[in-house]
Amino acid sequence: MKPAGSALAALLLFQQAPCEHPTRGETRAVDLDAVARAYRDVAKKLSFEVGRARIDEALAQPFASGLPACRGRARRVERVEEVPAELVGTSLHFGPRARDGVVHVVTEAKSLRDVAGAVLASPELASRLGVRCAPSTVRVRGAKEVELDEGD
Amino acid sequence: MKAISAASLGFAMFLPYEGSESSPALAPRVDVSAILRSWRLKGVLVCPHHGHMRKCWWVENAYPCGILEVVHSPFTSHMAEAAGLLKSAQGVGPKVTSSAGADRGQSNLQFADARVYTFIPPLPEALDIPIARPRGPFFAPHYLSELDAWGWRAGIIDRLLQPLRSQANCEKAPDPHNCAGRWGAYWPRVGFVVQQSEPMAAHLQALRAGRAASSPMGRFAITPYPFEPRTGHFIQMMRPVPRPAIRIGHAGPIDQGAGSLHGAYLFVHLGIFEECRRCLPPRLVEVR
Repeated sequence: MKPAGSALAALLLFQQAPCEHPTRGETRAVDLDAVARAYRDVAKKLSFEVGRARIDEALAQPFASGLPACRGRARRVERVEEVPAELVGTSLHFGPRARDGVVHVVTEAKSLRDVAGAVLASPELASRLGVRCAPSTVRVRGAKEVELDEGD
Repeated sequence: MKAISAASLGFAMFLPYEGSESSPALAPRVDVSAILRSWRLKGVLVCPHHGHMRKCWWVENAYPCGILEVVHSPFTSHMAEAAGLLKSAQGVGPKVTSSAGADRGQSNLQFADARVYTFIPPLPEALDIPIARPRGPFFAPHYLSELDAWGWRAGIIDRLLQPLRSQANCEKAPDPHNCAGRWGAYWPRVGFVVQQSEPMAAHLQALRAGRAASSPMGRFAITPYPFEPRTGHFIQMMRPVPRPAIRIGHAGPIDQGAGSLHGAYLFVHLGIFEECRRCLPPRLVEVR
């Protein structure tokens, strides 16, 4: 074992350090000035004109949250994960139409344009507040408690 | 009254940055060195395709994917393409209640409006190495904070959905998922930032808008922005001062000499993507 061990030690001593990677194969220098020139050419060659952003088209799309319609009227109290103290007392109405004095959370609309600026109902928001159907009004009664009026 | 008069003054005056940029003009000024600085070969992949095997270089690099804009005058933009967009938005949008220009510079509480656009310029042919490049349109609008008043101004949705993330202490423990380094917290994704330096605040506001647009969760986005700005990816200031792209959360000074007279800032977002051409489609990588 001794001669074999010495041979192995000699081999390790004279071989190239494992972390040195000599250059192999084809290499190519990248000239940043040439790249910048090429980019300028690309901009010149852009044969298409970037059209004006078509917000009208984008805002014409309908919105549907996927929240089912309530089958009847019901009132229930739900325990939720802690809500920040400053939001206690806030009311949110999940439905297609706005109501005075409450935050409107839109559940469906013929076009986004009709509801620009409103909160859009999302699965995250609905499940956070225990909302199961629309229309529903949620009142944050306490840090861990909400009251829901469904079908109202 | 002060807020209302300052806002109406903003509407009446034409600001010099308005419509002064366009996406084709921005393309050649993107910091290409960020692509090369971040480029790395992750390996070689082999995948089956119609009975034979394909080989590809699996690479990772930054690539421009968005324009993030921060302005202190509502319904204004650097981008010429956005003029019609903002005019339409002004017609349909809600009543904007907080105006950034009203008390600008009087306290450390900064507020600005923000926009998010997709921006994927074509690749220069001189870059003769395999590059990960996201797919998507050259230019498309996603988010205008003026249309997201409950989210951007009141912050109600983020405080409801992510109350704990909103309490991140980025000064002491900058968790890369919740903080852009020590620039500040991503959450809540609102336009208000407590920050003495306006350009520094603008960086954070731009990133917050990009993140709100990429994951709206009830926020009013025209369409979701597919490239969430992440810590360690790149952002490049284009206006008011052109700068090289820097890593999001970069530790060095980023605001020296970068203040804007009109409080208007324009950034290009360069996400880091990985791709193995014809085997693995391009995808945004995690925080770096």
